[in-house]
Amino acid sequence: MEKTTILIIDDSTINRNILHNVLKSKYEVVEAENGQVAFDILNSGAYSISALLLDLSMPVMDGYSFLKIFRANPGFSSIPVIVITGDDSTEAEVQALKLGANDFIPKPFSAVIVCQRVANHVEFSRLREQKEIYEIDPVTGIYSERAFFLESTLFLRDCKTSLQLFYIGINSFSFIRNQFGINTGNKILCCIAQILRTMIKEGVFGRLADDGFAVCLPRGSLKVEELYDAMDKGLSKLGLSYDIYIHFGIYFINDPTKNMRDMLYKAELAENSIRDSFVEKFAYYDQKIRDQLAKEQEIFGSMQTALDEEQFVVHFQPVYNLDSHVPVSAEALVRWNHPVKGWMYPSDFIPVFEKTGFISNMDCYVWEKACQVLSTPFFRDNNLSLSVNISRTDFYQIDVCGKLCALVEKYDLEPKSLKLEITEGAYSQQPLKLLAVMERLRGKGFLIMMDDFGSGYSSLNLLKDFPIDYLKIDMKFFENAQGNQKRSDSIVSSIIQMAQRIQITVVAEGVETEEQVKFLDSLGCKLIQGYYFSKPVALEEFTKKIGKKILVYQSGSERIQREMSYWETFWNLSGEGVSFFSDLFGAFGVFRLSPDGKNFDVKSCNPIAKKLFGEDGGRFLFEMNYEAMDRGCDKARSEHQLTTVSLLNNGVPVCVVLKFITDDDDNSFLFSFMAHRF
Amino acid sequence: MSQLLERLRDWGADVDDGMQRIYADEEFYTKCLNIFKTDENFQKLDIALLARNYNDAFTAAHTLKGVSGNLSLDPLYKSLCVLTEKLRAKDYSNLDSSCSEVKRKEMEFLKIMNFEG
Repeated sequence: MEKTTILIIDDSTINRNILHNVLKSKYEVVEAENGQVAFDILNSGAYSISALLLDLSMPVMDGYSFLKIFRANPGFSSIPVIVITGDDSTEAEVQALKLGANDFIPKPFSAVIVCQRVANHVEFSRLREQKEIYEIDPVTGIYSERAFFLESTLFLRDCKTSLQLFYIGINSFSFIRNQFGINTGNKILCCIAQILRTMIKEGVFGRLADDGFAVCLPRGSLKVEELYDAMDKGLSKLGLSYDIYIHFGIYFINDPTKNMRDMLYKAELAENSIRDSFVEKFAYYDQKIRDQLAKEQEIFGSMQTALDEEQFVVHFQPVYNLDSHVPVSAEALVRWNHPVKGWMYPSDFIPVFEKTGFISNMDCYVWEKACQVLSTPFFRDNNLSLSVNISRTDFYQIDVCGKLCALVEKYDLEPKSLKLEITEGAYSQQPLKLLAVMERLRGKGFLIMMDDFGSGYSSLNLLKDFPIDYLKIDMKFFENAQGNQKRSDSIVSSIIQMAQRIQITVVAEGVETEEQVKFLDSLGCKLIQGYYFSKPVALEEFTKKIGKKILVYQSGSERIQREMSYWETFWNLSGEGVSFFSDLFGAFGVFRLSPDGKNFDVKSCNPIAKKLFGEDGGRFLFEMNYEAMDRGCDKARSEHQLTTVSLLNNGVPVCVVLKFITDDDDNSFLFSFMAHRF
Repeated sequence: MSQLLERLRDWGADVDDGMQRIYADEEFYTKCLNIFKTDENFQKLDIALLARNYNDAFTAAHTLKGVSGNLSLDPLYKSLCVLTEKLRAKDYSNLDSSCSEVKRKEMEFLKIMNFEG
């Protein structure tokens, strides 16, 4: 370890010798015979001087002159100066101390005393430096968060006038820092700090750990608009190519006995409410925000109980395959069945959970539930998989890989049946750590889905660097594209093509319209999740949907038209092939069944149907046996299978095979039928 | 203890205190004494007094006082104290006797230092 260095400034060689001798066992010693030489040594930077022993009467530059200049230099302000002089008069002592000497030792001195005093001053100086590390923010030079809270609490205690708190936030600061570099980020912070220094004459201010700033000042002393304008101006002078948006959250201190952190949090909440606005500049903490805080408190207070009492319910939103028309998997989504507030959705409680870290507890619960479901015979037999969400904070709070591996082992599952959805937010913080965990997970056989692709700033970059198996595009991001839907569509199309090229499967979620389905289908994206097919449903309802084919085009009339044109093409073909076919299959056609189950409107049928059943193609026959037909139709519709109905036509048995096509807009149903007369 | 130091002690210097005061062993203490005996401030004091340059005289006396004090050369130290205070207070009455006393003690000191044998 480097020895501490002491500088002795005295014109008397013998004094220097004596002092050197006294100090040499503990310290490195450097000597100067007058003030000027001392400065030469100090400014050379060759030594890191921890303390000075200074004589007062010296030629060229005496001790007083030296002190004056020395103390005027802020770079030397933390170095203690011990004056050792033969002039032991009071005037000399007072003068020296006034000029900034830390201590005064008259000559003749005692070596022991000199040593001890030097040691004390060096130690004191070291402690003060350490304290400064904690109290001064190294980037801006203003108070750190810790110091701000200490100082502002004192200020509050001593100040007679009423005070207010500002929380100043910089919009998208971490993005700016990532895009433009740390230096630019620091420039912005220093700019704001400097404006605070200039403009806050009375009060305390500091930089907060989250890159925000806090100010505690008297209410009348400065208008927030003035401060805002000064900052706005200052920031624009930086000449960055990106506009910086700052926001102020303001809280008036009414109860000086309250905890400063709690009060600043209120100012922060106010700022949060306008954080993303490009128009709003300030927000005052008020009833609305207080209510939101109360709401958050309530959630916070009841979340552990909710977990213990299993108030969290997992719902499943099916992902349909457009080729097979059946659900192949589902996303597990959590809802909270709150005893007082009723059903709550993730947007209501996730923010609080993330802030408090509780999200990991909840995610583990959901993962376990998902595994339980996957381990049931129903899921195993139907080869169904589930996807679960991993929140970004999970990676920093728990051993995600360990936990998931333990679960799949416990429930004896194949890792690939539990797909893992990771949102872009998770990638941007500590990407290397995330990458390591993801590789481990994939090594164990898990498949990874990148959720909300395209919603953040660096999706493409992430795609390049992280091992992904699936990509999820949320169609909601590509709707209402500020008037340029075509461009939006182009982008979706490109994403899907790109994914195909790099062999990543795309799942489209948030699909709500038929148009979107058709569009995605045409691009080759066959996995669809969205309200168009099904909202997230409870387990029971989900199991009912398995195996049940849905029809892709839900608008009744369009569906019917499609089916009809298909059938009509089929049996309106002329030529031998048709008659052979007709002979083989007998009568067939399409009928519409009225909602009451009694009216059979045969829309179209082949010639044999007409021959066998009359011009109405079987209508009369069906209506005569409408109970049996109704039952059959019901079965065909609910089970999506071919259903046979036996009818009697004037004593002659007729076998009708029904197939459900679609339901129409007016709640009637379309069926196709084949009939044989025996 | 060396003969030199014995002689100094006989003269009135508190040699033990001196060594303790500056954390020195005999060798270093002796070394310091040897440096001190050739201290130019002795000459500076003489010249200043002759020229009646009392400011310079004060500076020189002051410095000598400090070192002699540190080395616990009490007889010399005491005489220098008297002179220094007079000069500081600009009290030039009886200055000659104070100066003579200093000179005398200085001579005594040098004699001991230069004594060989």
